[in-house]
Amino acid sequence: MRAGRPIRLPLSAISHPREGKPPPAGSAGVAPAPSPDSEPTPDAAGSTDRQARYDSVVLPQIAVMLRVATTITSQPADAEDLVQETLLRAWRGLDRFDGQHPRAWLLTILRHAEINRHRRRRPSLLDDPADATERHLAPVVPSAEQQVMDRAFDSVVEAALIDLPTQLRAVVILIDVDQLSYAEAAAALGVPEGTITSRLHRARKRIRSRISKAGLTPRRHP
Amino acid sequence: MNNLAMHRRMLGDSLVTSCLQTRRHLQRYLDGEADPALAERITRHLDACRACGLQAHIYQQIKTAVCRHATEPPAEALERLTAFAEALPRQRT
Ligand SMILES: [Zn+2]
Repeated sequence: MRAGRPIRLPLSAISHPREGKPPPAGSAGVAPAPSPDSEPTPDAAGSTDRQARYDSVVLPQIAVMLRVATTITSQPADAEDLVQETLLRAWRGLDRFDGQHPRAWLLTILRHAEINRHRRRRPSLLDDPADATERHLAPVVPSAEQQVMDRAFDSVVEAALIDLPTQLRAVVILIDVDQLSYAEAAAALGVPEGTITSRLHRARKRIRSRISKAGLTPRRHP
Repeated sequence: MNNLAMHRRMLGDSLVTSCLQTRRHLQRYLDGEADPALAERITRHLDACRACGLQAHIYQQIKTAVCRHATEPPAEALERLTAFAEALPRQRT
């Protein structure tokens, strides 16, 4: 069964910033989790405010960050490392955050962290499709006939998705699976919003033509 | 006279957007990225125009199918990361 296989995205989907820019300091390796029972910092007011700000800006976004990280890395363990690195960078860079669009801010940091991580140790860009078949989703179950149609539709969509050029597939996954806004997807990939719109358009058009070629065009009023 | 032409006559052109406009902005509309005025015009158009309505329906089905690929990240990873984030400010950096 093919439905439900997570679509993975090679790193080449991410556009890299101009060469020659040095990587941010302190980015080698992922810091171990600090001990949670350490005492609060003594220089009270300032650091407590900073802590509260971090909590309110960052904590609600961790799940999204992890989803996006899973989309742009090939391994769940890499995704977790990447988010950890992003959390650390966000803490260090908190004073530079203007308070607007926390999710886009964090996804930009995540992208930079990923580019840096990628420079440090080069994982294989093409991941093994065999281990991708392990995870399945529970199917949504309507009528038996509808189920067959849905499955056929899904597998054509999935095949079309896999055949898309990486850059197009990336955008579809970020919008429809990871549920990002256009602006957030633009931040995560480091491209202008207009690029998101046009890639999305092209990608879905290709998927749609595969659907019609397979004769699976759904009727509007069944 | 097609449905759209009839619809236009009933509502007046200003309220109804064209097939071309609708298709240009359809993805944005389906993704909830269209501003309310545009969304309203497109909704009206999709109700009136069978061809565009069908196209919108297909794209919506595709979105739903892609969405079924969603896998929740492991809960333990989320817990570890949350604990890490909560502990960070207490670290003296
Ligand atoms: Zn139309």
